[in-house]
Amino acid sequence: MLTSLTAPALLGLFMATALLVALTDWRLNLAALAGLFACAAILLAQITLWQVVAVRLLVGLLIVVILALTGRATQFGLALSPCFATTRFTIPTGFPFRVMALTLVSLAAWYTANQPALALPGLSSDLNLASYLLMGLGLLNLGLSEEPLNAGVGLFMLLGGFQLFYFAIEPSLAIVGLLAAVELGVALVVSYLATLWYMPAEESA
Amino acid sequence: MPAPLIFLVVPAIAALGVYLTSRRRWLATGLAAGSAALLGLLAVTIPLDETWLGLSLDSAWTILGRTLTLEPVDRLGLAFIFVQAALLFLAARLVEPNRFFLPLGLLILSLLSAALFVQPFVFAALFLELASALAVFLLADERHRVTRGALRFFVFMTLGMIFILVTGWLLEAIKSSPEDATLTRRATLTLAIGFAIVLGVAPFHSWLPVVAEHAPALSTAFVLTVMRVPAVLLVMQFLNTYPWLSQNPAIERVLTLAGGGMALLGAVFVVSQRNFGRALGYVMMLDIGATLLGLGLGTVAGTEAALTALALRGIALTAWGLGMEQLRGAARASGRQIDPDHFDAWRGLGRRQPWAAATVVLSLLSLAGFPLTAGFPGRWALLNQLAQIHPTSALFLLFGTASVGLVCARGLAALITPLATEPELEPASTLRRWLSENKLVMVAYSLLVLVILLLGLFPQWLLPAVARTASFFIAPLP
Repeated sequence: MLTSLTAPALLGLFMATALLVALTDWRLNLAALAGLFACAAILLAQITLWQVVAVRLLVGLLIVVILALTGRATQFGLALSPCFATTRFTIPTGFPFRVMALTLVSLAAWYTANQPALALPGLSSDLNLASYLLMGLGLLNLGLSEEPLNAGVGLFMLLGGFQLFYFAIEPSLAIVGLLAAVELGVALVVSYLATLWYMPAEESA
Repeated sequence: MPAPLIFLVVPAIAALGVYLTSRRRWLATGLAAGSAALLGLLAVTIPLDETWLGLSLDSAWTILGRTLTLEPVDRLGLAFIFVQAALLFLAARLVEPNRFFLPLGLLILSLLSAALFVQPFVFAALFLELASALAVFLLADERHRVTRGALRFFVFMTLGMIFILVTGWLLEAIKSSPEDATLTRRATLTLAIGFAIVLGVAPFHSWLPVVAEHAPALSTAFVLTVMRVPAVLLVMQFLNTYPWLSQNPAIERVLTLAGGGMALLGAVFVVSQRNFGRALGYVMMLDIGATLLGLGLGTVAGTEAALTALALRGIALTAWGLGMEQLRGAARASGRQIDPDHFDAWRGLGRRQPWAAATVVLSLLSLAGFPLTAGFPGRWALLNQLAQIHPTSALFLLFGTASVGLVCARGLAALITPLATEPELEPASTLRRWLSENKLVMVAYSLLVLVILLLGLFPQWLLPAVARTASFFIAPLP
């Protein structure tokens, strides 16, 4: 049954990462991030125990909650936006560039995943593609933004891609626990830095 | 009772105590500095695998299939981490530090201890990453809202962790098929990239000047001293554990190239600085370059020089942090509406804050290995070695020292030249008033300056301990 879900999960993963790279609106990005964690968990279920998948899902849920609370406290980053009054989703200024970069990195990830010499060990071709895609687009997102939440999303994508590969070769529970702690640490760091980034000037004194 | 548990649990309990007593600054500082100093002392004196004070102390502790072991090689590194942290915690009493500095600093010590103890030691990368996450809270706060440096630091540490973990898996694969040259090449490459990122080797150095310029000065000192030691010790442990790695001439070439490159870049970038914060970032590039060049020599003398630089960096950075906090505070209080770290903002401040100004300048000179300062003996020993094997790298280091000297001269000139709009101060009365208002601060500055100068004159006080640590890493291989 899980194998039949691979293709939809891979497609969902690509759509979620594409949204995370192409758009910078927190509200949409949080939903995309939740989708990314769910799709990654379905893919992960093929190579590891269900308990590990459950831990990953729980950690993902906690991360989304932490970031949603941060978003609420900072008005989803709209306080510093020139169109503060609006609640409509807006397209970021570098949208065409982001889409072009997204396409190029996705093609590079697809090409790399299909090279036998560069295939990650212990993974099927679908998981190879998912891992390269997440790591590549995560790095792209890190390069595109120094705003803490968008950069943080890049870190989650990078770590997600790495874990897909790493859990296949190192399934020990201690490592699963420590990597979960690392992800929660990233969420707290992103939340803290985003709060400082969007803090009104008068509160900073 | 497992001995590693003491170094993991005591800092965590002390952190809780410090957090609860944070309103009483003397008590919180005393608790943080006292517990760190006590653990530093215990690190070198605690007997292992025998009974001590009625407790049976085991050197190893197994948890979830991983072992945490306190080995003789870890003792001095551990002691250095805790003593250096104690010094910084004490300094925090004299300035207004980041509000998380003491409690999170203690928690970071606990994680760094775990990084030193964990076996297989590649998993140290996970503990270093967790420590980096906590360090972000020290590097930015409501008064230091530029998050760029803290974010870059954290992103680079995360990338470094990924590469080191992949190396760990490749090393396991090499054990099962040692004749596979491809695996060896890949492991060497991922290890080199991982450590280049963690140590801040160019082009992964961009967080260094930003953190040094925008983060609280004592937090910067904490990250650049206490948190760097386990990373450097980890590199040395890798080189010592895997013969195919330490005997690979390519590794020495890579270390020399990276070290020389860092020294040259640090020297070139620092010379144009008009800001003591950014200047420190580039001085640290020079210092990291010197450490890598020492390790790249592959000799006991080279390793000793690298460890000496690492050990003496702490005193100079504590002095820099204390002086910078004081000068930044004075620049802010004077209401000058410019970058508070820029030399123009500090014009004339040396007359009002003479000890802070002297300490900042002296500490930068010490970090650059200037003669008569604590940084000189290690740098001189390294230059002697390099002059015979890699003279170009020695020249880069000398160029760096000269560049830092130039920046310090320029900064000193700004510090002692008053603004034309400010009333002329009568130096003797200003100094008398400052001394009466800042007795404790003056004692701290005097002690730090004295130690920097004395260790420059009598390095033999410290060198035997450094040589003992170096001998663990360059032990003859079986």
